[in-house]
Formats: sequence, structure tokens, C-alpha cells
Amino acid sequence: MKKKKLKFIDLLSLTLLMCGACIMIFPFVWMILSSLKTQVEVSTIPPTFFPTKATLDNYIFALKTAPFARYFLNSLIVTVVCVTLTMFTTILAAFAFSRLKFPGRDIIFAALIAMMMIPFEMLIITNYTTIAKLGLMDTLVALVIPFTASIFYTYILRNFFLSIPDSLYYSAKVDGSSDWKYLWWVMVPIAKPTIITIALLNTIAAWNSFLWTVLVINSTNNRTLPFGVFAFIAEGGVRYERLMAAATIVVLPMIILFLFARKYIVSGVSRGGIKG
Amino acid sequence: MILKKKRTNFDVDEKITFKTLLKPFLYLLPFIISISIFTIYPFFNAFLISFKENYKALSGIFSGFGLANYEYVLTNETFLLALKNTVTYVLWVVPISTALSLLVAVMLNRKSKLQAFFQTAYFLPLVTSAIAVGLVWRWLFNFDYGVINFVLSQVGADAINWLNNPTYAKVALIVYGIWSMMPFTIILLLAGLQNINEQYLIAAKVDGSKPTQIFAYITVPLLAPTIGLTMIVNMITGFKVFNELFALFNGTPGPAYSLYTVIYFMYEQFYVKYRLGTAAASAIVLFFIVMILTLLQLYMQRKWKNY
Amino acid sequence: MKVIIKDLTKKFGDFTAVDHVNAEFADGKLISLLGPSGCGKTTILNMLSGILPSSNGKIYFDNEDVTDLPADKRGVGLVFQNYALYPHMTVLENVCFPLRIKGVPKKERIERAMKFINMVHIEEYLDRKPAELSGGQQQRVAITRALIKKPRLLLLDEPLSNLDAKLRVEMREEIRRLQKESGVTTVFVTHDQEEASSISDSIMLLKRGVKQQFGTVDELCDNPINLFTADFLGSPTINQIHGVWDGKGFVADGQTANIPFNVNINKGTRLVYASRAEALKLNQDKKFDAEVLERYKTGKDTLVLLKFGAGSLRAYTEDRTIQVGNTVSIGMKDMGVFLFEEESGSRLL
Repeated sequence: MKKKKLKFIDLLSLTLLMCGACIMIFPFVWMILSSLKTQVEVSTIPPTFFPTKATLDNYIFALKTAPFARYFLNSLIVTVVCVTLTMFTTILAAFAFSRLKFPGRDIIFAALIAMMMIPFEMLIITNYTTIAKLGLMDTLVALVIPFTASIFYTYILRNFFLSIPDSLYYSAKVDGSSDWKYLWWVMVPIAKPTIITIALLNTIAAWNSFLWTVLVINSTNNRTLPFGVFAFIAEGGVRYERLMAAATIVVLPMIILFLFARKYIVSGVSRGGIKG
Repeated sequence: MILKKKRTNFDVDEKITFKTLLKPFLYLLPFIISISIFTIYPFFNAFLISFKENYKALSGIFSGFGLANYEYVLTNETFLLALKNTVTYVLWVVPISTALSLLVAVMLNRKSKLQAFFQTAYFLPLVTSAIAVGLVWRWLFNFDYGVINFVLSQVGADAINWLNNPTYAKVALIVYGIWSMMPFTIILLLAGLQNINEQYLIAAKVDGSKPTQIFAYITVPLLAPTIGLTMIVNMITGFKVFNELFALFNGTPGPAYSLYTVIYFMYEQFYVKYRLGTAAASAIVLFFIVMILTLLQLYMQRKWKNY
Repeated sequence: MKVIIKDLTKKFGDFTAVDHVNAEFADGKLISLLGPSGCGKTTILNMLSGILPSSNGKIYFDNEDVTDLPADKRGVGLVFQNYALYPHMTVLENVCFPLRIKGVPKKERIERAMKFINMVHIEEYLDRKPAELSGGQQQRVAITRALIKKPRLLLLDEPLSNLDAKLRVEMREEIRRLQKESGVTTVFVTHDQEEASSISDSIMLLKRGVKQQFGTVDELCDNPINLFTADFLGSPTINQIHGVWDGKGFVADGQTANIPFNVNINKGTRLVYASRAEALKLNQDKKFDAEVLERYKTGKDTLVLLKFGAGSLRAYTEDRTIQVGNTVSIGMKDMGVFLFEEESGSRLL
């Protein structure tokens, strides 16, 4: 009797999960499928699921007309530079807060933790003015420099660094190692999983950043993908099959990233939630 | 959350020279520069600006310090409407997404061979741009050709003009909001579930409890802190709703301003009307509200916890 | 290279961990820092390596004052209790690390390392990561890494305490062999007196940060400077009987007769009469009588437990006829018998 009961629950939950999963990914599936349809097909009722005549026209239009290739390049540059700089500052700062000694170290760190919760929306106003005053309005630089350090990532990495035994540090010191070498030859390799996780979270955030771009960028050529999609709506007319193509271009790289690095991303997010 | 170990920072006999202080300084320099200019300074400046009356951004001229901005914000009809809308949004989205996420998390917790597929399906919205996805939802909600209306027609209901009807627009935003809030919530709840000591569950099973009983009387109470945590985090995120709104309604705050939210108000003050003082004031008002609500929640949760 | 420490002191707040310790460690010798937990031995080691700054005093390597020299410039090799191997590197990479720091190119690194790799016999695990090795193997890797830079001084912090008993004996002999082969001055911290006694050239015994005695094993055993030293060294622990001086001899608590000694002590002084188990002669001389409580066979010897006054004695004997319950007469050899003042522990005879 018991076995039967168990099976029923398992089956039920599996079914429910399946339904839920389908609902959750439906938007993405629909997005990709719609992007491959023609205008005619997209406005048929009842709507077809798979495209009867798959076409890449929408993508070609997006890449050529609205300069999505350009947007993609901008997004790529901004994301890569941002993440590189952030990882650099984060690694150095985490090292300083964990291994180096200086007066007030722990107090300063506690203060930074308190500031972790400051919402970006409060800072936008001043940052906008700062960028304007620096004459960097409408440049890719403006998309990068406000985002070159993160208290949150530094907090995570610093905690991990603390878990590396002191004896390793002293051992390296006695072997003649400088702090810099110890950081890059020993600590960073040991911290690889954590660093990868942080880098991934950072990449996703940078790639998807929208609000800031809208505020700061004016000219078409400097737009990143999310902004580009938004502008496309106005400029491309209400041609949903094209809009879907545009959306796919933005979303696909992150989906691919997710498929490869799912474990790291998920662990990073759960750590992020627990920080609160 | 605060450092647990008290590490002795400096050894008493270690000589503090200029050189020993220089090194940490240099390591911290990039971090400090970036944080100072783009986090610390703006944070304090926001407070400052909010008190500057008639602040003209580029010239920096203002007429004096005072509470005029706050007065304006707190008595402004639009702002109060925005507040109402935002609160409504949060009140619908957070509980529903938490409940659904709990269900999913519990089911996902059982090992199954389709783990990879399920994880991908449920967590994908995390990594995707709100703008792009919002666009897709717009398409789904489309009056003429959207899939949702199609489904409705199949079950005999009338097609709804989701995006142009003020009431239904709210529903649309809420549905989208729940969908995008779930992945994060599921992850946190899953982590919380996995932290529950197996022994309690085994003991209950041995005692002969049914799965539903185990769930209600053991799992949920033990999970309560995590649930509380996710609700707080989600509430904070919910109050800041903007990207989804922007995407779903193409930059407008919904048909007939029905979805005017607080951040939208701030955005308008700042970007459209160039009134930095009031924009800052509204941002700060929002965050005080959120802080108070968070503290309230924490207080209630602590009381709740005494079982 | 010889090491000289002068008045070396270390304070942590009000607590003095190391109190004005003076010593000279000769070149090429193996010296143990021995003592119970908290006696300051590891603290001294850390100061020698440069990791821990001293509160006071000086350290000299040959004639160079290295007291203020930072750890990365002292040319010291250090082996930690937990080995401190870099977990993400292979054994070969771990071992070559000191050379990599110095900028030696890879090929040359491996060449130079091979000599020591062979000396320590770790050739088989060069490609493995530390997590894949046993405790003993990890320790050998740690030692190799320390030797590779041809240090002036080799420091080992309780290297054997994480190993099981049998391995401990093996490894301490290995360490001795390596030390002799490389000729490096070595300082070795341990709380196990047997360990120290078996392989050291000299031992420095410490108690609560104060140097008790420094000398060879024989010196510490045969000529202990105080009760603590006599008690700490030697296996089994030295016999200790408490009593009082009656003017002519030692009267044990619970006894009336005295054991005469030729020494000038104030009448009424409380004393501790200490004797090594091997220093007592049974049924040969008679200084006093004792009753046999137990006998233990240990190899070719028999160890008997004797009741004497309020306390007990252990003595070795080759006489197999002695049984439990017998009363035997006890005599003493010339060496291995001491009198200490009870309170201060200082040696009177």
C-alpha cells in the first residue's frame, strides 16, 4: 500500500512540475519561434506553434537596419571591460581586507557591509550629474566607470579568502614570496570557483543593464542591446516578429551562458539572497 | 552577518611604518576610488540634494535648504497614486510568488532525473534582460494575436484588452511580476529546504505522519526564517518595480497612468522635468518607507518565531 | 650556520609567552625545543622564522642581526604542523615553489629539485595533488619544499603530531637522516620527550616561557637542573617521593627511618627524593625496604611497582624471582638519584 501512495505523489509532483516548467519557459520558446516566422504568419489566428516557413529575415533586418550588430558589439565591450575591472578591484580589495593588516580594517569593512544595501535608484541622480560634469555623456565610458567596484562581491570574496589557512600565507612568506605573488599564484587559484561565480553574476548584471543606459546614452551608435531593443520598438514599427528577433539577440547569449554555467550561477544567487 | 571571529589585526610588536600602511592603501585604492565617487558620495549627496530647494543641477544653484521638496512629494497626488499602485503591486506579487515558489521548491527538492531540465526552466528568467522579456510578454498579452487571448478563446472566454485596459493592465503586470520573481525565490527556498536537518523529517516519517502533515507541521515552521527572508527581499525588489513596467508598456506608466509607480515618479521628476531635488526626495521617501516596512516585518517575524 | 638568541622575549598584552631566553644553536645540529603546551616553544620558532615579531631581545644568524629582518628575507625553511601544502598545485609544483619565487626558469627548477626529491624519496607522487597523499607523504613533501631553497635554518613545528605512532618513529628517523645528509641547522618543536630524546643533538626545555635547561639528552637526564626537568625527561617518569630532611637524612612521608645523604640542608626542609627507575638496585644494597605491589614484564626487563611510605616507586630489575607481595631491599646507584627542594624545585643533590 505504501509504495502505491508514494508513486502517486511522485507522479503528481512530476506532472505539476512539468506544467509549471512549461509555463515558465513558454515565453522564451515563443520568443524564439516567433522570431523565425514571417509577418503574415505571426498575425494568423489561430497562432501556429512552429513556423511553417522558418526564415531568418527578421534577424537580417535587425542586424542590418537597426544596427543590432553594433549594439551587440557595444554590449560585449561594455560587459567585458566592466567585469574585468570589477574583478580586478574586487580581488585586490578582498585581499586587503582579509590578509593585510592596517588600523581600522575591520571597522571600515563593517561600514562597507552596512552600505551594501544602498539601492542603486538613490545613486542614479548624482551619478548622472557626475557623468555630465565629466563630459562623458553619451559615451561607452559612462556605461563602465560607475560599475567598476562592488561591495557585495568584495564581501563574498573576502569571506572566502579568510577561509584560506594562515599557514599557507606564512609558508609562502618564508619561501620568499611577496604579497602580490601570494595573491595571484596561491589565493586566486584556490578561490577559482568563487571568482567564477562572481564574474558570472557580474556579467549577467552588466549585460542586462538597462535603466542607466537609457539615461546616459543618446546617440544610436552607443546603445547597448537592451536599450537597442527598446528603441527598436519605436523605430522598427510594431512588427512583432522583428521585435522577437531583437529580443532573442539580447537574451540568447545569457541563455547559453546559463546552460553552461548553471551550477555557479545558482550557487551565486542563493549566496546573494542569504547576504540579507 | 557581522564578523564572528575577532581577528587580532595588528600584533603589538609589529612596527607600523609608512611602508606597512602604504601597501594596503595601494591594494584598496581602485576599490576606494570607485566606491567613493559612485556609491558613497552619491548616497550622501542624495540626502543633500533632497533638502536643496529649487536645485538646478548643472549650475548647482539652489535657493536654500528646506523641506520644500519633501512637502511637494508627500502632498503630490501623483506620488500618492504611485505609492498606492506600488503597494498594490507588492501586495499581490509577493505573497502569490512566495506561495507558488514554495510549492515548486518542495517538489524540486525530491531528486528526479529531470533536475537539469527543471532547474533550467525555472531559473532562466534570472539571467535574462527585463526589457527583452517584457517585450515577449507584451506580445503574449497582445489583444489580437497574443497567445493568452487565444487560450482564453479556446475555453470560451472573451479576449481581454490587457494592455489598454487600466484594470487588466494591472493584472498583466502582476502576472509578469510573479513570473519574474519566482526563480530567485525558488532558489532561496530550495537552499533553505536543503538546510533543514534530515533527522526531523525522518523522525516524523517514523512516527507515521503523512507527507502533508510533515509539510505543514515540520517543514514550513523550520523553513519560516527563510520564507521570511525571501519575503523581505522580494518586497524591497517589488517596491522598486520599474524595468518590467517600462518594458511591458513601452515606457509609459500603463494605460491612463494606471501603473504609475514610485520609481516612475522619481524617473519623471529627474529625467523629464529636471527637478533633481524632488527626485531625490522621492527616492529617499521610498527608501524610508521600505526600511520601515522591513523593520516591521522583522519585528513581526521575530514575534512569530516564538513557537 | 649557528643561531644565537639573546634575551628573546614575547609578550601578548599582559601575558609573557617567552621570557628572556638565551641560547646558542651550533651549526649543523638538530636542536629540539621541548616542553608542555603553552611553554613558548612554538612562539620561539615563529620568531626565528620571522613570522612573529619579538617584543624584546635579539636573534643572530651567524653574526648577522636578523631580529628586524622580515620572513621573506631570512632564508629559513619552515614545516608546519599541518604541512601547509598548496592544495591547487601538484607535488612537483609545491616543491618547486620557492625556486619559482626566485625566478628560476622551469627546466632548471625541476633539475635542482630532483636532488632533494630523491633524497626524500617522493619521486612517485610528483603528479599528485596534496589531497591525494597520506599524512606521512604530505610531510615529506613539506620537508622537501623547505630544503629546496637550501635554507640557513630549518624549522619544524611539531611535524610528527599528526601521524600515527608507528609512522612517528619512522618519520623521526627520516628527519634525522635528512638533517644529517643536508647538514642544515635544524630546530624542532615537540612536546614529546621521547621524540626529542631520540634524535636531537641538544634539547632546550621550556616551561611557561622560561628556559629550564639546555644541553644534550644525557645532560638533561643525568644532570637535571631542577625537578621539572627531571620529571619531564625519562621514561618511565622519574620516581618522586615527598618527605623532609631530619638533619642527617631524608625521611619520606609515611616513614620514620631516614635515608642518609651527605649534603648540607636545613633541618625541616621539605624535599622531593627523585630516582630513575634504572637507578635503584633491588636486593643488593640496603638503604631501605619496600613492598612489591605489581610487576610488569617489558621485553627483557621487569619493572616492579613498589610501595614506599605514602608513595610508590618504579624500579627495573633482572631478578625474576621477585614476586608481588615480597619485601625487597632497595639500594641506589651513583647516578640517577637526586634531591630537590619541594617548593622551588631546585636541585640540592
